[in-house]
Amino acid sequence: MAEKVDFNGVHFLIVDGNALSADLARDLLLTMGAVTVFVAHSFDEGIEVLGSDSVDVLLTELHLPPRSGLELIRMVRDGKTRAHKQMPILVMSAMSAKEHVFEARDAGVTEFIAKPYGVEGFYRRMVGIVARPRAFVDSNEYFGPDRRRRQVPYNGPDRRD
Amino acid sequence: MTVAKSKLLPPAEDLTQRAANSTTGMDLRLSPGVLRRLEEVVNESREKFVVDLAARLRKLRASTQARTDGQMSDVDLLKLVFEESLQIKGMGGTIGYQVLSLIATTLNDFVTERQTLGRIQFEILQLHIDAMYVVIADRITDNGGILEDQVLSGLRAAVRKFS
Repeated sequence: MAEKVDFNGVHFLIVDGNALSADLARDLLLTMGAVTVFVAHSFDEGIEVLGSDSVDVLLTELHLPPRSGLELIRMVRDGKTRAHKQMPILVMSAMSAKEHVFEARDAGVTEFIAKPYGVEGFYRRMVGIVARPRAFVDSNEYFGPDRRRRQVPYNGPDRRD
Repeated sequence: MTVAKSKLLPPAEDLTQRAANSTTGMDLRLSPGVLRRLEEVVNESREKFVVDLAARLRKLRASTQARTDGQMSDVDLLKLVFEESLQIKGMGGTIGYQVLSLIATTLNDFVTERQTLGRIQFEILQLHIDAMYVVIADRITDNGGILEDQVLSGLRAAVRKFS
């Protein structure tokens, strides 16, 4: 079983309108061994990078006025970019109220980290999304990581193939 | 009634196969050495964050003055305060100013979806900005002390009462 994650060959894209926050996330990734970290400061720049470069992991803010990080996530999950539809997506956002977390989850985000965040939480999530990829659900209404995190007894109808 | 079935797709393993291994890279568990290096990265950016936060607070103070002088509408001020308080909330705690993030959170909640400002609401908004100024000026890190706790409780009570 893998005990390490080598970020050397993993290509990251950070989309955050706050330049300092984006730079900090980039510097943390570089310290963790990443070599290729693209930084975009707007939705449009993010789309441009996703259309022209090979990106393995997307880190995005939800607050990207006049557009939204949710739109970006949906575009990836709908296959409207060059990126792999099942790519890991981490939301890093100060819009961390329950409704925003649920919206992000239902748009197909892999992990959510609320700003302000600590380096331990950041590390744990980055390692986790690469080392432990999640199964995906493909339905008419949703394409994204399996939202059932807990294994609980269920006696209702089986709606999955 | 027919129920539309959904498909469960196996995890995409290509990235994991490329990056996860047993010899090179980061341990799955964060080691003390790596934690120290990551904290150093945060420390190195602290001063830039503080300068940026101070500039945002100056902008907020200038804008409240502009509103007082009749040069800025409530809608424009509220839009600006929403934007800046969200950024301050996200930045403060990241560099150790948790109390700053907590005040910014209260302010952000207060202005979210608000369209107008009465006299008391405007004063509450100014009190938040003044409190954040003090935090930055006096470099009050972590959660602050008893005084900061009381200030935060007072701001929250005011927001609850006058929202």
